[in-house]
Amino acid sequence: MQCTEVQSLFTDFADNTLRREELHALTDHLLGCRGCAREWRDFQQTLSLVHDLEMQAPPADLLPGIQAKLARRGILGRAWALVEALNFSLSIPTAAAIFTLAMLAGFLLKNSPLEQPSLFPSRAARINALQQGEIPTPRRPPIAPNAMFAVSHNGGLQDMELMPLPQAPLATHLPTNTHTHRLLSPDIHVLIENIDRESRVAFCREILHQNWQLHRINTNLFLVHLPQTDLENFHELLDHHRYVLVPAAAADTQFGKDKTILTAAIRFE
Amino acid sequence: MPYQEATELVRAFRQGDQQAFNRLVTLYQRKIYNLALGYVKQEDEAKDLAQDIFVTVFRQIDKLKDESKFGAWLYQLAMNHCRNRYQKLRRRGFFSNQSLDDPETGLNLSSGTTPEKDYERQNTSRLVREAIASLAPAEKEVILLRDLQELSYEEISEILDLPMGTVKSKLNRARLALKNRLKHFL
Repeated sequence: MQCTEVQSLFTDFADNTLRREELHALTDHLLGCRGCAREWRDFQQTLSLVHDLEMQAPPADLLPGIQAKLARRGILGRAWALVEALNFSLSIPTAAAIFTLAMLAGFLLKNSPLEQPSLFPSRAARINALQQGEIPTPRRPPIAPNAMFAVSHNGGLQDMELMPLPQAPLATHLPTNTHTHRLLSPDIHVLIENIDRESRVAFCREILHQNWQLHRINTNLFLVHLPQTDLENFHELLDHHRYVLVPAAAADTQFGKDKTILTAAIRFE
Repeated sequence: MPYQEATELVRAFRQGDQQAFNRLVTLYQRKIYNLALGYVKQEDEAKDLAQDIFVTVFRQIDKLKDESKFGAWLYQLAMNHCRNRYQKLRRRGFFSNQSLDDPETGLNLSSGTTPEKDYERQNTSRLVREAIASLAPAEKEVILLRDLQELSYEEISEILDLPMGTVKSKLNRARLALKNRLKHFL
């Protein structure tokens, strides 16, 4: 066996997948050739060094970053699909006029109250803002920050059929039955806008599915008690909707770490 | 890798379960992030690359024909992304700005050892990663897949669309090249 042939078999030798006759020829050669024996030792040391390398932990914000990218590309992708679906040809002046109108519309939309980035930022943006030391303040809090709620111990789950009430008053609600009550001040306030009736029901069912305690204060106002460790799941549930979160620090899954149970007040609009 | 779990998650995701996609990311993010890091070496760039890979998974999951082949499909997609990003960054001179003294190439503090041993171990780790990074792309790929990602020859053969014998001979050549680059260190 030649020296070049020996080295071509090193990986099979290391994997112990050589045929018997190859193995004998190789080991005979290594015993008699100091150069190849040294190469084999270096090869083994190289493998050992590579196998000792440790995988690095991925950054904690990898998944939120993916969700943020998906949200951005979703809007662009839909716009592009619309352009493709139109499939028409334009003269240059017409195209220029449409372009100008589109730019104008984009400017107006960007500056409209509905599209203010601070009002409905993505969760990644919320976390990023927190890390940068910025506390985004929504223009209007979903619920008065110091609101207290009296909640019956038997919960409020019986009436899951939500009837649309256009302007339910936003105020402290005291149940009138004789059950024992406890006064609660929510840790988190959430305002979910533009949510239809079906989505509300689905949202509430998902909360129950998570085994979190749900209290119905009125048609548009709910309290949810959830373990602090479930805050990540709570955010994932909210991420399907346009929502305002108060305080902004609640976007961080470490929020309320000193508590076992967090209370969130959720208002639908 | 728990293949059964991945297959079930892919099935759930294709049926509209968004949480299944998140769990798929969690299941594979460590491997994909490290694969990306093996190509681009810089952590922020590797994070961005890994995110782009998973975004493509999300958008192109319908193109996966066999759910049980998700792992190989993911790696094929990841390799394509890594190759493209590597070429793009190289054209911009991204790698010429990184040197052997670059602290962002796989240094990890660990407990239980002395600072001197930690430093020595990290220095060794950095040198080995640099040596792998300096290999030709085809050599680097096969080392990353086999020796760092610990994939089987069958899996690598499927990902790279090469016969298994070719994979083995390429791996042997890559390891010999790596040995020669680390010669002064052995």
